[in-house]
Formats: sequence, C-alpha cells, structure tokens
Amino acid sequence: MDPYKVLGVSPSASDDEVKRAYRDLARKYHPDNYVDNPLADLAKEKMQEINDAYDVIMKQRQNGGASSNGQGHNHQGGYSGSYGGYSGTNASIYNQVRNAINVGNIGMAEELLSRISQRDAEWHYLRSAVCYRKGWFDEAMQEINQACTMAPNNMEYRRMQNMLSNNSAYGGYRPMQQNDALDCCTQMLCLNCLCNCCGGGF
Amino acid sequence: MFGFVRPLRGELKVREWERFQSVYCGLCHTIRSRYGLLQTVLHSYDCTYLALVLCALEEDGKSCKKRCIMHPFRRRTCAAESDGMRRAAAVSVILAWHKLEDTAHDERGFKRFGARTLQFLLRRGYRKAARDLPDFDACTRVCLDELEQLERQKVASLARPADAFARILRAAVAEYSTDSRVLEEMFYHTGRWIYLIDACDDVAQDFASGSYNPVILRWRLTQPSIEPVKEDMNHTLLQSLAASYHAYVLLRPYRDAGIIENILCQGLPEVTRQVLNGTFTNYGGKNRHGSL
Repeated sequence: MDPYKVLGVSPSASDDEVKRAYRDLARKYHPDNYVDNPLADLAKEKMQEINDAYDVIMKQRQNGGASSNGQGHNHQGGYSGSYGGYSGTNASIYNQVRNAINVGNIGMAEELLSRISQRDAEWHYLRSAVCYRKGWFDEAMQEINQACTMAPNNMEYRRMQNMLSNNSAYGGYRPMQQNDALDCCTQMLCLNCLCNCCGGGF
Repeated sequence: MFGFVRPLRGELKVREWERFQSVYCGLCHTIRSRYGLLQTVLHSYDCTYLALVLCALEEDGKSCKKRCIMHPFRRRTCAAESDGMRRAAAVSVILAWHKLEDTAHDERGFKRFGARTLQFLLRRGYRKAARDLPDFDACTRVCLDELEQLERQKVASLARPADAFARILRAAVAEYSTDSRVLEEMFYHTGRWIYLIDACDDVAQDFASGSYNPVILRWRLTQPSIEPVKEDMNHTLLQSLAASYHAYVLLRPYRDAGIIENILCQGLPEVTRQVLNGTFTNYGGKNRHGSL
C-alpha cells in the first residue's frame, strides 16, 4: 500500500508535515489507548502499518537526498496487558483466570471467577479486569475500589484503580475538542523539547 | 428512548450538515420504499447514525434527488439506497416495533391503546423487516426480555441492564462486513451510552413515578436530581464514548469521517453535558441541539 496514503499526506508534503501526520496517527493508535481492549490486536496491526509507512518514506527521502533532520521516532509496539503473580489459596485458579484474560477468553474468565465463593481482594481485582474488558466500566470501578479497600498496599491494584478513575481512561479520545489537532502551544513546547535534546543546550 | 445521537451542528461544515440531512432523507426513503410510508413516522437519529457509518464503509456513495411528503415541492438530495441503508432501515423498523411492544406492555389506558393500534398498522412492515433480518429480530427480543427481567428484579447495577440494551445495537451490525468485529465493539459502546444517558435523562420522572431507573438504584439517590453523582456518571459515560471512538478509528471509512468524528467527539459529549446539567430537552429544544 502507498505509504503516503497510510499517513494521509500527499507525496509532496514536507518532512515536517509527514512527521506531524505520523505523530498524530501514532497517538491515535497508541497501544496505551488499547490496554485491555478486545481490539488491541487490530490497533497493533494498524500501528505497525503506520510505523512501516513512516520508515519507507523517510528512507526514500534520505536516499533521494531530501533533507531530513534524522530525528528518531520510537516504535511503541510493546503491548503488555499481562497480569502478574499472586500466591494465595486460590492461586492456581486465579492463574487460569489471568491466562484466560490474557488470551481474550473473557467468557471463561468470568465462568471461573463465578465458581469461587471465597472472594478476596484478588478476586475483585480480576473481576474488575473482566468487567473492564467487557466495557462495564462502572462495575469495573466498583470492583477495583473493593479490591483496594481489602488490600490497600497492593501496587498492581492501585495502578488499575488510577487507570480507571482519572481522565487517562479515555486514552486518545478528547471529548469536545478537535481530536486531530494539537494546539499551537503544545506543539511549540514539544518542538522546543526536541531541539533541546538534539541540539544540546542553547 | 431514541434520538440522543446527533452531531454538534455548529462545528459541522455546511456540506457535512447537508450530507447528514441527505443520509436522514435517504434512510427515510429506503424505509418507505421497503416497509411502507407509515414506518417513517418512527424514524430516529440513532438509526441515521447507523446508516451514516455503514454507508461510509461502502466504496461508492451515490446520491439522488427525491420528493417526499414533508418536502413536496422541492426535490431534496438523498443518499441512495445501498446495503448499508437497507440494513439500517430494517434495524429501524424492528427497533420501532419492539419499542411499541414495550410501551403497550408497560403502559395502561390510552397510551397502551395507541401503541397497540400503531402496532396493528405497522405489522406488515415489521414482518417483512423481521424476515430480512431474522437474527437481529430474535436477538432484540431476547435482550429486551432480559432487560425486563432485570427491571423487575430492580437490579442496582448500571452495567447489567446497559449490557442487555447494548447487545441489541451490537447485533444490529453483526455479520455485516469484514469489519464486523470493530463495528460490533463500536456500536456496543454506543448502545451502552444511549441506555445510560436515557436513564440519566429520566431520573426526575422515574423518581416521581417510582419506575425502575438503574441510576437511582445504583447511587441510592434520595432526591429526584442527578446532581450528586454528575461527575461519576460523566466519567462512565465518557469511558463508553472513548471505547466507541477507539473502535471507530480502526475502520477505514471512504467518506463522512468528519461527521462521524463530530458525533463521537463533540455531539455525544455535548448531549452528555446537557443531560447531566438538566438542559437537554428532546422535543422542545429541537433546533438548539442541531437536530433536523
């Protein structure tokens, strides 16, 4: 597929325009927006496509002698939504639940959880993960709050609670704003940071 | 229940607004030609949105000029009948029928009589639509039965009744195209949002009448106002919209991306804000919300 089409720019676009288009798209399909999302695999494919298109264009331009200031772009493909370890009475069954969640078999995870009668913090945590996957956001919130009340010191639960409760839960979605355009100030700030990094102390 | 999904008109380009209107008219014409004139009285914005998205995924999007009862003198531009239009038309007719069924079941007296009469008049169109989309019709029936049971049990959960409703919209796009997986996810979350926003809008009314309302039960509201839980409801509603948006961006629409993004990123958050503020009015304030 035409790499320019993938990025949605014309072949005559300047390097900066290509870069900006790439950055906007990368923000849209960033794996962080698809944590515990059933469509994470499709987003990853899309991200790969964008990365490849950007690489092809930049390589073409470098070989053709077009100016490129060689700023690297980071491939952010590392989606890891895996749940960590736990040792307790129901450890083996919880492991099965985690595996089921990781491979996306939410029905099985739910079924396994429903069989457990002794509901500890881990149970509520996993139930929260299941609810989140299904888009039952309010119930996910209730379950994770319960887990955090029962085990206030568990960092994994806290992380999930934070993720669910603040605005980062919306990912790249910005209600009431033009989703595609970074405002001028932010862009200048970003550019400024990049200049500082590369140019080394002006 | 229907009619919350609309663009924020002030942020649309004029040609986008005209296109939205032409999809609305196109869907209306499709419903009329396939299921009869009377079916068009129950035509909603939510199904227009469905038609808009499905048509955006089709390679050729033709339009034509047509007259209708509402516009008898000047021919208006309408999006042409296509697979997406036909799907949305059948969905619209089936949903309207089940909505009437629901009204006839819940209400007493004059309202019930009205709903039954309308159902009688619409029965042939409905039967044809149910033949066109048997799986969707069956799924809608199952989900609405489940919803009714949850209502009878007075379940104090937002997610469970919303899930039963959202599955109806998921079924509306099931097995439609190669993008079905993405579409199902997108419309599931739209459905969840519609159910919850409707519940928020009805808080005062249901509080007075004592009817089932998941928002009142979930937050144990003691007064007929959504004010104390505004923030929490806003959060969960926006999470659904975010999930719907993240599904949508995985599609490759041939056209109308601007309108769909307007609806998802501006129209629906604006409706959310208005409903939670209590400034949303479905009928009286029609023109203020950019409806037709």
